[in-house]
Amino acid sequence: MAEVLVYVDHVDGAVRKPTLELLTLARRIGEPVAVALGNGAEATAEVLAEHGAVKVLTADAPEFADYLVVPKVDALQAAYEAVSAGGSLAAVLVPSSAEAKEIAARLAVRIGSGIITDAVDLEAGQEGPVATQAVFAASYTTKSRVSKGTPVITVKPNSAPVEAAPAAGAVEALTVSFGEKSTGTKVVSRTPRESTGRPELTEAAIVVSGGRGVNGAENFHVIEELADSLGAPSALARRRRRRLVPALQPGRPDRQVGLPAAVHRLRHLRRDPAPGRHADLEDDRRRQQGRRGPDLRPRRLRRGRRPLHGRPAADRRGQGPQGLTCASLAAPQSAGAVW
Amino acid sequence: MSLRIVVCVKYVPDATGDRHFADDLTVDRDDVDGLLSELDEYAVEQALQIADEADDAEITVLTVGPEDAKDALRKALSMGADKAVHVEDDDLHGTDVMGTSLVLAKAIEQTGYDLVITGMASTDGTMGVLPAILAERLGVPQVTLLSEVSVEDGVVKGRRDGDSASEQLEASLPAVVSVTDQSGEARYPSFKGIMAAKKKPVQSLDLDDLGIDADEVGLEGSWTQVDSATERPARTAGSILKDEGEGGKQLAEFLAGQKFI
Repeated sequence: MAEVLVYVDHVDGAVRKPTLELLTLARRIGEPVAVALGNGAEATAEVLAEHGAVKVLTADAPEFADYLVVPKVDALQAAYEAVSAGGSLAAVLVPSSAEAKEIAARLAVRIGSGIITDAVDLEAGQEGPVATQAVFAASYTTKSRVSKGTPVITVKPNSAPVEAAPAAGAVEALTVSFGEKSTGTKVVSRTPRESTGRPELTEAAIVVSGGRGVNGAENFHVIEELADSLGAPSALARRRRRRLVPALQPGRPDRQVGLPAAVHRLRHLRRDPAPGRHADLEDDRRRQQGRRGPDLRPRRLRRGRRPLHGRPAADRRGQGPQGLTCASLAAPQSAGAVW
Repeated sequence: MSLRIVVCVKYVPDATGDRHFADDLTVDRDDVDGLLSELDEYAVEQALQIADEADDAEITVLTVGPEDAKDALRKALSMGADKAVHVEDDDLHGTDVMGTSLVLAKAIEQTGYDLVITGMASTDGTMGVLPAILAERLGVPQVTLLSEVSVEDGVVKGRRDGDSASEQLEASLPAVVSVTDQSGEARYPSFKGIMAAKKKPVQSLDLDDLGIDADEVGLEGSWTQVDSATERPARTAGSILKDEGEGGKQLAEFLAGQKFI
């Protein structure tokens, strides 16, 4: 059976959820061979085996932590060469985290393969794996495949369920020789992100997002409380140009959501700019444009949102007995769950 | 010696417009108004700030795209860049990230560079991998996804805010840098800047000038293939709960009904 290389995203041996989802997808295409790098790599084997990894290739070296991206590309390339030499390698799957995407891209150039990023689903096809992507702020769904080389595909979090599928998970040490370019970018210092105790925004299935509807930073706690009761991260719906951010800093949302689409990797995003209205950003902007008629400015001066002449009615802000203001939910699996 | 900065920018369909696909499943760039990608404005801004700090610097903005992509170059020039390079060729239609990065790398090498700056992603394709591929192709350090960047004595330093940690990075020039939307507000072009931009040189290059074969790029030369693109069905109306003192309960019932809680 064909093998599928799966790059493991872990923090000191603790495997992150998107990697386990990746194993589910990998099993649709072939036998998952996991590649875990850096501190704690061997500790990942147990949980990877429980989720279907037949083999876990591990490597640890100070280079992985001391230099950016390239040492990991060297290692993944070594794994690629080791596995593809042994027979049929069907695909290389990588989680869509910022760093892992860069690793995947550089590997793709080196091995002369096409790359598809941010897939939300993956299935086996006649001519190799078919990736589903949500594009243009999820207004279109595309199906694509890699037509040259071994497909390198990065997959967004929450694209597949985590499934237990016990497999051998034999640990094998990977021999890596670092190229001369691998020490180009030095990581001088590293400060771990302060944990809020809530799930990562990028990995969450539910996000509670609040904006100016809460009427000021001091009220943002209602969003946090709802988030906590749902076990979800809170987020700040962002107006263009971040007008709200300084005002809402004390509320400490976990992250901002909103434009540009590139900064968040949620499959679906909904935000509620004011109570009683529901829209995702795209629809909202389009509707405003329609209401105000065509843009008459010269084309080269036309950009983004036009100045608002009318502010949202004050009586729509911060309303709601029982301490509820506006909040909206992003739920990948249930369309129409927005009010 | 003068610091040569090349800023890669992209002309993208306006995200507020009705973005869609053409018949050959490429992004339709004709029927939708285009503009300089918002994320690339941050790259231009950081280039201008680095140039201000340096004794002597020259900023070249580079784009690959159709005729209209000149608009994006003009915008960057009006913000303060010195000159522009536009790679334009009919054979480029449908090029994927591998082809685009090849063209950019050749054009950057031909222009000459000490520092390449890009945005974190384009607002249409949103892949976010081009800076890394450029660094791989050029064989120089990648210092990507920076929220803060500075250049001093031939060394580029910056802060990269990752998913799990914030890292301070350092690399010697030449290097490829990408900056995020947290790097600092991009300036608006002044009227003077807009007028001055009209006189700034825009060099046009085609594939022959860069020594690239037509079959290495374009739809045929692409290493990936899009088989289908389906528009999302119109969303059904959500339900609006009117709060008459029982809003919280109704909300909780709704959430329970949808299995959120």
